Amino acid sequence: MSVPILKRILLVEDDPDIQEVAALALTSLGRFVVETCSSGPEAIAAVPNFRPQLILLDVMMPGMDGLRTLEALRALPETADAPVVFLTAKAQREEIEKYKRAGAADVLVKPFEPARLPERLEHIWRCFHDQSE
Amino acid sequence: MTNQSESYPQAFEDLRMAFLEEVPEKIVAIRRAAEDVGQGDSQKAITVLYHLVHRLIGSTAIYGLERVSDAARPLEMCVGEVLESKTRCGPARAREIIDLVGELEQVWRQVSPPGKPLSRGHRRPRSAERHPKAPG
Repeated sequence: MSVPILKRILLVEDDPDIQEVAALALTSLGRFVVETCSSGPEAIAAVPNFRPQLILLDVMMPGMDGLRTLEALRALPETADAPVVFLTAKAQREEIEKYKRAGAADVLVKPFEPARLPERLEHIWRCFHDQSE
Repeated sequence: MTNQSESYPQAFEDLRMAFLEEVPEKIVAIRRAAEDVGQGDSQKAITVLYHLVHRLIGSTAIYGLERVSDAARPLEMCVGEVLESKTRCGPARAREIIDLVGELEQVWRQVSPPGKPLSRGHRRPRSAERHPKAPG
């Protein structure tokens, strides 16, 4: 089975500076449609209309953090099986393993190189579908 | 391999320059939050301070200001320890936090472009504010 084309990405990041640069890197290619949200509740509200194929989710956000947001996203039919990629500043192996056990398809450690973000997400997207087959 | 569009480098540079304009304001906010620690509701103040510092570390690193990001890490660690202990921040810890903010300010003064002192600065409208989403 061929891998579907990745188009709709939901970016959930509370830091407007990181949100802006990540959205720029993804949208400048002209291939992705990116919906940006600043919090877990905002992301959950955006899901039914936007129907993201992949979610890029910051771990440390005030209020509802990334792990709790992931739980809530899994309860929605549109994102029950969608790959979720965590963004975190914590590069320790045990932290990364914890996020993967929680259901993350992969983990990107901050700071990341914005220009390489599309390539990395497409790689994760392909791996996710290869493993799903 | 995914190639970025030709307009990306200039667009990134524009964002980076706008970000540099805002760093002084972010550091001033950290100073204010640090001064609130040790007074009144210190748990609330320490939570606010932790998120401000954490954001500064992430955003300065992504825009290539590694020295500022590195200078903020000891502050994040110190504030994080207080946050995890869930106890009131004592005077010695509050003093340590203020000193670490001073070190961060000093590094910014060393690396900042001319004309970017630690004054209030200004906040530019975000892309979402410049192009608000249609309701519904």
